[in-house]
Amino acid sequence: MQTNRELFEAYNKDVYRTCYYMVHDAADAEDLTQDVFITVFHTNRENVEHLKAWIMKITVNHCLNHLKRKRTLQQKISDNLYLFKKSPEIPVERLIEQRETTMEWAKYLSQLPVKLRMVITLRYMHDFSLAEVSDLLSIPLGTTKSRLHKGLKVLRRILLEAGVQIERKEGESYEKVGEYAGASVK
Amino acid sequence: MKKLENMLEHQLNEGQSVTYPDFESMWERIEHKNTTSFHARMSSGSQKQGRNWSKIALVSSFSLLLAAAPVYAAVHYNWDTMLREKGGIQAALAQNLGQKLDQSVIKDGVTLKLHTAIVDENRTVILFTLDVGQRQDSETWRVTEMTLKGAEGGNSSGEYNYLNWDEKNQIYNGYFESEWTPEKDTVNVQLVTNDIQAFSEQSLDLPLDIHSTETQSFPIGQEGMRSIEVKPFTQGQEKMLFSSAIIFDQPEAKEWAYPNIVGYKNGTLINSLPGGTFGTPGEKGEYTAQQYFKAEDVSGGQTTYKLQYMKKEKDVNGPLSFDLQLSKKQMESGTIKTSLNLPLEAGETDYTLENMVVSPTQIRVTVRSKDIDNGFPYKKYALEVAGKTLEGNLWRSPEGEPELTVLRFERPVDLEITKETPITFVAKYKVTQHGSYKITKNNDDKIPLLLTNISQKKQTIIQQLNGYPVKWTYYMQGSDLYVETGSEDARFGGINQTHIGLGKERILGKPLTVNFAGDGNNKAIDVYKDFKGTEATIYMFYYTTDDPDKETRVQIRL
Repeated sequence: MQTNRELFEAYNKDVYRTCYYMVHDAADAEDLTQDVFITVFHTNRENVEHLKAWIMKITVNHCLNHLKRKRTLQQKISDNLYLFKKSPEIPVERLIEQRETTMEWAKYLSQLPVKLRMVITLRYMHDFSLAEVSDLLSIPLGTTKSRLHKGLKVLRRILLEAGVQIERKEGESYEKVGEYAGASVK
Repeated sequence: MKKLENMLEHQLNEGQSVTYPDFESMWERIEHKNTTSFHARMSSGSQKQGRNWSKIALVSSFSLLLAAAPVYAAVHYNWDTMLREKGGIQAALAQNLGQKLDQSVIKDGVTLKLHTAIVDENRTVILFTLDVGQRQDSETWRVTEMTLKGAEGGNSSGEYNYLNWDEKNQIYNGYFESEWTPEKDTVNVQLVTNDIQAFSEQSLDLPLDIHSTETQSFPIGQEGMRSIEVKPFTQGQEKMLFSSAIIFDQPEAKEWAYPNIVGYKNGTLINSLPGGTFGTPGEKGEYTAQQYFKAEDVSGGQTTYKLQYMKKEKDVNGPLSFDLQLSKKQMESGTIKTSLNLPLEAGETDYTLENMVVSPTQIRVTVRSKDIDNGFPYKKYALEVAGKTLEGNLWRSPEGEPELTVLRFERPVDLEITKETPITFVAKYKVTQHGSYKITKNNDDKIPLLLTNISQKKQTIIQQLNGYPVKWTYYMQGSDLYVETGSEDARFGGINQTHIGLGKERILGKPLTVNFAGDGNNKAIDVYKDFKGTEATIYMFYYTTDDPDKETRVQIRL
């Protein structure tokens, strides 16, 4: 069995990155990472088969609890303002600034509803299969699929509104994206 | 859509500009937390820092340990990691002021080796290592009752030891600290330790219903514990209190079991909030504890509870002893003793800074109180020396001198102090005690409050104390009367204990909560077992008020 130290070295970046993209705050992500490892070390892991998945599950739970604690109605509304606005009024300077820094990705992701953000992060950051994501989040495979799909659609809209270039395939209209976005709030 | 997916994979993964935190210091914090939380629990029973005039001693040593959880830069292991809170010892080692010991004892495959002693006018510290052979990750070791003995030294006061696991070298680094210091330059003493033991953390499901205010009882049958009783209380909007009592079939297991309740919400561990108390003996010798949880942490979702405790896995029986000749001679040149006799607050005579001892490792300030019933009235104390702020710790009073408060300040590694160095003593956050345990003639300082129509129904009275609205809530549950006190005004510090009636007829309320002055919690619960009647005249011993902004500064010349 790996020692605590080995486990920490092997997964600290994965855990931190997940927390960072989930909570969009470096200090909170650092605290969460620390808490995740304290929990990991306190738990008997002799019978854990897939260590990374297990650690990510603990990470996901910590992030969700943290977000739940932080979430007030006001935040909910302000987080999702983009869903209510027709055309975002972002000054040109800010647009450029946003495009310049990759750190903004955490911000784009943080605009996604938590449930969608979770699925996207696990799928694309850690390359977990859809079945593994379902398992990690204890949700049916169908739900994972639809959240992933919805997540991508909403994210696409967020990115486009922020002025990030994505090549657009023909036939996909913004209106359709808008519908999905609306649905995710309900 | 594929394009977006590729972009996401690219952005969210390694190689992108996520600035990582300092994982090395995070690791140290985790290690420190792991050791500290266990040690805080482990040593609360034997460590006797705090004030010996009150039953608060147990828990004040607790908070002293828990309060130390700060920032450290040292990256290397060995003593530095372990001594991160002990700058003075690090400084002495750096200047080669330590005394080499190099003695070891081997028993049952476990090696205890003493390395260095640091002895000065303020304390004695001995650095040691404990090699336990093959250690399991789940094992936590401790050394019990390490003490200095001998004709010329040792008084067992303020002694404790601390172990820190050094993952890299697979060994425990440890230090023993005593406030004892030799009367003369060189003395012969013995360092004795009783047992060396290994523990593992265990847990047991506790099917607790936190929505019921009834006392709930569960069998345990593990580690000498027969059963546990838990009673949940709601404290204001934000907190839940679990008051618990464990009956031990094997009373000696209280020394190590350190049971505590933890929650799991959707599989994530929820620890109780700081400020809980553990191990206060109940009326029948049961082990009682009060733990606070954030209400929102435990409400909603699937919350389950467990009783966490330590199980003794290995026991290397002692005593193991070392004969030592300790000397403080090398440290003498860096030591300054000064008598101060300065008032703590200008124009007041209630508290006097009496003397100060600056040694190479520590600065000790002794404060005299006029009234032994009133402890040192400030929560925070520091010394400002040459642009540096040294935070202090409250130590126990010397034997038989409860009127003295000893404050100790660790010297940072790179601080030079001479007779010319200006020093300012700064105390902040005043806590004032109103009333005391003393009984005055005719009890004329006691303010009565009448509780009427006592029944199962919760009733409240608002009492104005010194301008603070204090809410009294009283109700019967079973045959017991519960009296809860508290104030919405955070500056009200809380009522320490209530009693019904006066003189010989007086019945003491049994505090369910352990109430500390200046702990930021002004809610208290007293229970009167088998209460008869529907009316009661209730009194209190004292209450405290907090003044977080109050500060006093005293200039000191050595």
